Amino acid sequence: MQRRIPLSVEAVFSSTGMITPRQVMFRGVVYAIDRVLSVRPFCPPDIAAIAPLRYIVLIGGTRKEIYYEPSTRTWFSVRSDGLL
Amino acid sequence: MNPPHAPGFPSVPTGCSDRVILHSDLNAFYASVEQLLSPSLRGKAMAVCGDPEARHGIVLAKSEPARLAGIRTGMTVWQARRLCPGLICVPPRFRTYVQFSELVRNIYGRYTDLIEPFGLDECWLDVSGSVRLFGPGYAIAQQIRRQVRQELGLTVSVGISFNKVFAKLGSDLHKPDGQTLITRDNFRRIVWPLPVDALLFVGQSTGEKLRRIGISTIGALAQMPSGTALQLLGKGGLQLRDYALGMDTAPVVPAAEFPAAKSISRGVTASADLLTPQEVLSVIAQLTQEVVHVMYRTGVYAAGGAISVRHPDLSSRDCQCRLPLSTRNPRTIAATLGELYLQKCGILPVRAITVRVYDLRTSRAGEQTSLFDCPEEESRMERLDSAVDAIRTRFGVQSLLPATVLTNTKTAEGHRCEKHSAVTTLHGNYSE
Repeated sequence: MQRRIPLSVEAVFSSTGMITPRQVMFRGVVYAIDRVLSVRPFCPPDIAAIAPLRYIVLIGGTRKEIYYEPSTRTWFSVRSDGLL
Repeated sequence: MNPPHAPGFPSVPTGCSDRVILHSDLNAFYASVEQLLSPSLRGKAMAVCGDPEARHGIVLAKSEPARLAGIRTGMTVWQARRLCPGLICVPPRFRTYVQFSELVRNIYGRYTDLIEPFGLDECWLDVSGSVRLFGPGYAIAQQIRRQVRQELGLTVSVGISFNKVFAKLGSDLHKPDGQTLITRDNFRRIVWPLPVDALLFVGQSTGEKLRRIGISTIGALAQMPSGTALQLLGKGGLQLRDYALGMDTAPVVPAAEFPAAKSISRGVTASADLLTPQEVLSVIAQLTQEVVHVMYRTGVYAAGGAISVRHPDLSSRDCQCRLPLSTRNPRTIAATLGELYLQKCGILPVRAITVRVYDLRTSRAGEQTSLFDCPEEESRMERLDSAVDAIRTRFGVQSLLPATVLTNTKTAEGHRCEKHSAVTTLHGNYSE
């Protein structure tokens, strides 16, 4: 069973409306985002969310997925064990 | 090249390429949204139901396990619970459904701007002009289904055909999450064996009339002589026969191009039967206020008004009358309809009321006024009503109400009024 894990994210809002995450704060640790690889609408299965955007990012050289839900303006990740 | 057709039937118009029409239908829309937003409901027998306490207790949508248990949309809650004792009922969240409906239409909008909504969960799409960019209709339907599933977590069934009626039939054939292609070559094989009431605009009454004369399938309807169709069902019968023959030529009309409304109505089912004329008149005043709000938003006046009352035995009575002048004065409309009710429909008790205004016009220019009308007073009241409407638009419909609604506790508006600790009347008095 997948779980939605709320995240604190620092992001840049460009003049054209693009939202680019810069770093993620989770359990007191700040993780800098090296690069955003892709952004597209994607609703993870078994997760309650309204039209979220999936960001595939590089954190510490590792590929991670974080989600932004525009209707609630919240960020989250999806894991079964609660770890990012 | 003429497509093949059976002898004795009208041939297909030639010389022009066929349209590519999709009909997309979100599967169990309300129930799917609720399951998406509450994963604990997934895989369970659940239904979105109105509130039985407010006498709106019917099934609006059901999940697949509930459907397999025999639950049908429109069933009352108590009937549904008898069929499925473990049924989970959740209340509707219309704003959320509207939100998802818009999100799905945004996906449709990637392929065409010719999108005709048919309720919150269904749309026709004319993708004739998009096939060169995105591929044939079947491929576009596959892309739409995949994107709706991946981006929103919902599923759609899509019918692809050369007209709207067959496209809608196609979307009904494979549920959930399927698609059906109906062409000029295969519609006799796919569509004609279907029951006649599967055809769009064939309702219960028309279906019974057709079955009484042995027309039980769409194919039989297509082969019915035109004279018989005209005699049995009038001009509508000829149109239904054309639909069955695949001769529907109605265009896909985007919502922005819908013709202007011919009437505006608002209705309510009271939480308890209305027992006195005063209660009925109070509800008429409340509904009139809501109708007038729409009239101001759309910039129209009405020259006619009608009311429909339904009694606890579900019998109903409708009556209508001309308004003294084209107006959107809520007091004039409510007084006229109240008088109409007392004179023509005064039977009590009343379970539900609908107020409707018709013969809408955008201007009162050229209208013959009464000798005894006072234009200045009319103008003053119009400015007052406009100010009231502006307040209600800005601060919500609860911010300013007719005083008679305060005494009405049998509708949702009346209940909400009861909860307010202070309400301002039109004359500036405060009551607690």
